Formats: sequence, structure tokens, C-alpha cells
Amino acid sequence: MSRPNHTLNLILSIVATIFCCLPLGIVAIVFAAIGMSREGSGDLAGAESAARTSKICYWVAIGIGLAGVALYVLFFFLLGVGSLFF
Amino acid sequence: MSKSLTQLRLPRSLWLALAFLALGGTSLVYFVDPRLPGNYPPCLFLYFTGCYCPGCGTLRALHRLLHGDLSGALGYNPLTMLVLPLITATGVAGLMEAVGRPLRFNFTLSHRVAWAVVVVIILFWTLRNVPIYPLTTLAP
Repeated sequence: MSRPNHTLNLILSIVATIFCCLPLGIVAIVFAAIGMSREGSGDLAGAESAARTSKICYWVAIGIGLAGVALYVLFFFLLGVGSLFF
Repeated sequence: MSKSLTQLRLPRSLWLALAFLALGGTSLVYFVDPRLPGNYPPCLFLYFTGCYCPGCGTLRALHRLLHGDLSGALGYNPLTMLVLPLITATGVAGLMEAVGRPLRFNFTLSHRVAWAVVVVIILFWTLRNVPIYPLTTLAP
């Protein structure tokens, strides 16, 4: 049976925090840490559920970050196109 | 018990996408100066709350680092400089695994490190928003 990779979760949570500027990144780091603590104390089911929560938080944070950049680029692209005509 | 970086297990396509994103981002930050306003979108947290987030100044710090100015980079965001080696090592390990040549180093972080990261980030986040002299150096 495959166990969650808590080290990877922690590092991706840090990436989400540093690059996406959302409090959600901190939540992801906290849940990654909880997962590690539970794994160490033998609570495997608890560790797995904490890891899942952490994973959802950092992927949502990374998604929002990328969507924000895409919208910003699109906005200025449309502004540029619009300025050609008006 | 917990997995090390030698078993990263993200889908190969995802590692390649992340590597592509990192390469594109790095060259963009190298050539387009984030210190000039309007070149990049503002931090969402700063935009809505007026407070710095723990990641504010990351792009400027990376830009200074890429141009060889380490003290400038530390001035914009010391936290980024602290975790950058960790992120780079993870990226390289994941990419090597995705292309079928995994690295031979073992790397597992303990829960103590994880909780230390939580404490450091929350302290850094709070302190860099305090407008009193020695703490203002932490602001970007």
C-alpha cells in the first residue's frame, strides 16, 4: 500500500505560500506538519487524511495563483488590443 | 516511515510541467525587472489587506539573486533565500526521477522541521508588518 509523501507535501506547501501569497498556503503547511506528526506516532489513517487536506490546500492555492497571473496577462492583452482601435 | 525525496511519485507530466514553469518563470524574472511597478501582478494578499504576506518580495529577491546581488536578495525576502535550496533540490530530484535517472541521495524531513517551518513563517509574516525600525528591514 502506498503511503503519502509528507516531505513532498511540505515542500509544495512552502512553494504555494511563497509564490501564491495566500493564507491557504499556511493551512497546507500546518496540515503537512500534522500529517508528519501522526505518521511518526503511528496514526496512519490520521496521517493520510491530514496529507489529503494539505494536498487539496496547496493545489487550490497554486491554481488560484496561476489563474490570477493568467487573468492579469489577459487583461493587459485586451487593453493593448483595445487601444489599437479606440 | 515517511517517504523520502527519492520516492517523489508525482506524475511525470506534472514534473515536466513544473520544470517548464520554473524555467519560463526564471527567464522572465531575469529579463523583466520586478522592481518596476506594473511589470507583474501585485500580491493578492497585499492588494486586498495592505499587509505584506510571507512571500512578498520573492520575485524581486529572485531577480537580484539571478543578477548576482545576494545582499539585495536577502533584503527583499530572506525567507525565500532560506527555502530556495530546498525547493531547488526537490525540483531537481523530481525531474531526474521523471526522466528515469533518479538521484542517489536520501532526504526525509522530520515533523520537527515541519513545525519549525510553521513557526518561522508565522513569526516572519507578523514581524515584517511591524513598522518599527529593526523590523522594517524584513519588509520588502
